[in-house]
Amino acid sequence: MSRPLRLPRPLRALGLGALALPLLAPGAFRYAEDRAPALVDPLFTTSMAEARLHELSFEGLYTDDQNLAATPLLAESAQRAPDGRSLTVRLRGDVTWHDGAPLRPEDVVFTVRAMKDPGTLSPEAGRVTFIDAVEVVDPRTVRFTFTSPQDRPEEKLYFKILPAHLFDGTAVPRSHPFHQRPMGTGPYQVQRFQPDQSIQLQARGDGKRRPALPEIVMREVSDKNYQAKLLLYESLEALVRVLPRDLAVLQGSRQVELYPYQTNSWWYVGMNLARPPFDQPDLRRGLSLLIDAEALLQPVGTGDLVSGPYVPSSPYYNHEVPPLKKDEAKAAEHLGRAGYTKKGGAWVDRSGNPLTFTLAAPRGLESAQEVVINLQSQLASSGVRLNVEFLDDAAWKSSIWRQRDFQLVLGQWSFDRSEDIREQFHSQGTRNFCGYKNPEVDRLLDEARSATDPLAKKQSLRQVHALVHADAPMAFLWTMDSYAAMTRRVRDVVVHPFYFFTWVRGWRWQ
Amino acid sequence: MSRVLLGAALGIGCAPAPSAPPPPAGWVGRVVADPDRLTVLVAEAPEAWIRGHAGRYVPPTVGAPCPGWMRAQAEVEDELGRLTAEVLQALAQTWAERGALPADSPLPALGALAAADQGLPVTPWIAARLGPGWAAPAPGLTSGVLLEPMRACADAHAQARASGAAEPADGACPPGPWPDPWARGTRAAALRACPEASGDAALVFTARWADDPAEDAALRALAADPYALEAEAARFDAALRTGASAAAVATLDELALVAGWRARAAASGAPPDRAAALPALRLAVDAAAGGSPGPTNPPQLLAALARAQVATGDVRGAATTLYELDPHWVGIGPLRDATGDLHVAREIGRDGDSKEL
Repeated sequence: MSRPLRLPRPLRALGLGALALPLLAPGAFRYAEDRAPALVDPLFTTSMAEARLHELSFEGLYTDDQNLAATPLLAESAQRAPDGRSLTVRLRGDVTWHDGAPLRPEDVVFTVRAMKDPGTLSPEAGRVTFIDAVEVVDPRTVRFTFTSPQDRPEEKLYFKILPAHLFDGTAVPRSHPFHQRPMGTGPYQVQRFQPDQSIQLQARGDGKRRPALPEIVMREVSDKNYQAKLLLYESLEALVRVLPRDLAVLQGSRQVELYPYQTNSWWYVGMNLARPPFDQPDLRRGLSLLIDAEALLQPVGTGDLVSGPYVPSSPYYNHEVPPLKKDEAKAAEHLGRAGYTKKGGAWVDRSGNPLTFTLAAPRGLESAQEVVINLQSQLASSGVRLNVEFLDDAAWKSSIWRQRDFQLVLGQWSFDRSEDIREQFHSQGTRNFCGYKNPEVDRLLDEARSATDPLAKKQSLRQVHALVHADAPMAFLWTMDSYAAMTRRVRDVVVHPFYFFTWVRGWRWQ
Repeated sequence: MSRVLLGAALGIGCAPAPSAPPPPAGWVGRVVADPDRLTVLVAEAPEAWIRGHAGRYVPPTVGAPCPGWMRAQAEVEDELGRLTAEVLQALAQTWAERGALPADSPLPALGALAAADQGLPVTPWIAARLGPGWAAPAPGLTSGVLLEPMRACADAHAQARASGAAEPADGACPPGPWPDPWARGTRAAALRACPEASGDAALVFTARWADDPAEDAALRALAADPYALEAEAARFDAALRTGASAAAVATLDELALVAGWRARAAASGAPPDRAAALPALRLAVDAAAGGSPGPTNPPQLLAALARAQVATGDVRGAATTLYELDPHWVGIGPLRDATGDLHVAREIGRDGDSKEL
C-alpha cells in the first residue's frame, strides 16, 4: 500500500515538522506512545508502554485466548501433579529466537531465576514468587515446583521468556547490552532504535505464526494534542490511549475506529512513607485534604474520582468510602495534630520552616504537566509550597523505583482484569515504592490471594480499600476511560484489554 | 455561534449532491419535516418522554397505551433476563470449579429458574447439580427445586403477569443478594401487554426507521456490518438536512435522532449469537458520551453489549457496562453484583499484572 510520506500542510503549520516520518517501507503500522520505553527488557518492565512493546517481541509459556482463558503459547502441553505442587511443561518444538537459536528449557529456567535473583532487582519478581524451583527435565521439558499447591498454575505463567544464551548469569544488571539488541520469540523482532526515540519492528515467523502486518513502528509523541491530529492526517495508524477530549473528533472521523479497552487505571499522588514527615498519618491525611481532585481533573478530561485503589466499576471498589473532597478545616485539624501551624498564610513546622515538598512527575507527559501546575497552585493557595521535578523514564526508574529518593510522586497505575493491588500495597510488594505497611492490609491481601470464595475475596479487598483510604499513603485522584483509536485501514482488530497487542497476529491491512 | 446555528451551518456545508436518493419514509423524516409533531407528542407525557429519550427506564401504567419506545423496553428486559440466567449459571459452575460453592447455595436453582423463565437451556452442569428433582417449569414459574421462601415470590410474579403488572406485590420478593430470576420476565410481559399507542407515538425513538416493514428489516440487517450501517445513517443524515429548517436541524442535532436510531438499530439487528455480535456492538457505542446511557447509547445497546462481553469471557468489561447502566435502569444492582462475582470467581487463583501509566 502507499501512503504520503510528507506531512500535510496543516500539520506542518502546527510545527510538527520534527515529527515528519522517516522513510518507511510501505505497510508499516505506526502507533504512538506518550513516552518511549526506557528499556526493552521484560526483566525491568514497569510501564504500560514497555508491556505493549514486549507483547510484540516476546512470548510467555501461556497467554490469553480471545475468551480471556489461558492458552499455551511457548508451551505445547503441561501436566500438573495431583497434589498441585508442581507442573511439568513440554515446550513447542518449532520455536526459535529471533537470532535463529532454538527455544530450550534452559531459557525458562534462566528467566525465572533471573526474575527471582536479588541481584537483578526485577520489578517483575512478584510474578514468580509462587515458584519455588524450576529445572530442566529433558531437551523439551521443564518442571516447576511451587511454594504451595496451585490449581491453575498456567494462569500465572504469562511472564515473558528470555534467551539464556545471551546472558552470563542470573543477576542481570540494567546496563546489560541485551536491552540494546533485545531478542525474543514474539511475532515482531526489534529492528532498530531511531534517534527520534521510535522503535522499528519487523514481522517474523512462518505460516500461521507470521503476522499479517509486515512492520510496526512505535513512535514517541508526548503531546496528546498532536497524537490525534497525526492519526487523522494518516501519519499514524493507532493511538494506544485517547484523551477523553479527543474522543468526539476521532469518533466523527470515518477513517478512524475507537476500541475500548479496560486498563483499570487510576491517578494518584504518592507519598514516601519511609521518610519524615510522611511517616505521620495526620500529615498525609491533611495534605490529601488540601487537594481538589475534581478541579485537577477538569482540564485533563472527564473521569470518575476514586477513593481508593480500584476503579468504581470494580467489584472490589468500596462504595461506602467516598472520594476525598478538599476541606481546609479538616486538613487544618490533621496538620495541627501533626505539629504544623499556619502563620501568615503558610503552614510551618515546629521550627518555623515552611511546609515545602518536592513532587516527582513524569517528563514529557502533557497531562501530568497540566495536573502538576494546577496542584502547585492549589497547594500554594492553601499555604503549602510544592517544588516539581520532571523525570525522564530512566531517572524515574532510578529515583523512584530503585533508590526511592522522592517525597511525593504523581503517577498512574494500570491493572489487568485481576486488579491485583498486592504488589503496590503489601509490605512485601515489589511495586510498593511508597513503602506502605499495614499488617491488617497484608493479612487481607494474603487472604484474598488464597481465597476460594468469591464473596469472601470481594469483602477482603473492599476492606483493604477502606483501610488504604484511611491510611492515606496516596491521595487517590481519578480514573479515566481508556480507548484506543485506529485507522480503519487495519481490519480484524481485537485489542487485548491490558496488553493491547496480544492478538496482533490476526490484524491485517484492508 | 449557538449550537443550533452551528448545526444549521454544518447542515448546509454537508449537503449531498442533488442526485442523492432520499431516505425511506419513516418517523425521523416526518419529525424533520415538521418538528412541531414531536412537540405535540412529547407534551402528552413530557416526563416519560424525556426519561425515555435519555435511556432511563419508564414503567408502564396498567391499562394506559404505551408509545413504541416504551414497549421496546421489553427488549432490554429480555436481554437483561438472558444475561441474568447466563451469569447466575456461570457463577454457580465457576465458583464450584474454582472454589467451593456451599452445598446449600441457591445459585444453581436461581440460575436454572432464570434460564427456564427466559426460554434458555439449563446448562448440563446445573441440571446435574440440581439432580433428578429438577424439571424445567415451563410454562409456569414453579419447580421442584424452588426453595420455600421463594415460592411466595414466584406466586406473586404469576399474579403480576396475569394482571399485566410490571412488578410483583410489595414485599413478596424481598431484595436479596442475588437477582430475582423472574423480575425481567414479568416486566417484559407487562411492557408487551401494554396497549400500543397509535400514530407517531408508535414509532418515534424506536429502532424502526422505514414505514415499509420489508424496507425496515433490510435496514436493520445492515447492523451486522457496522460500517454499512454507519454509511447508511450518514447518507440519511445528509439527505434529511437538505433544505431542512433551522428548527428541524436543531431537533436533529440536539435529540441525536439519526445517531440514536443507528444505535438502536445496531442493537436490535445484531446477530442473536452475542459472541458473534460483539465487534459490531462495540463499534456502535458512542465513546464520546463516555459509554454512558443516553440517546446515542440506548439501554438496548448496552444490555446487548454486556451480554456479548460475558459470552466472550470479558466479564470485567460487562461489569463496567452494567455499572454505567445502573443509575439509569431498573434492578441493575444485583445483576451487576452477580456479574462482578462471576468475574471474581473466574480470577480465583490468578495473580494479576500491573504497570505504570
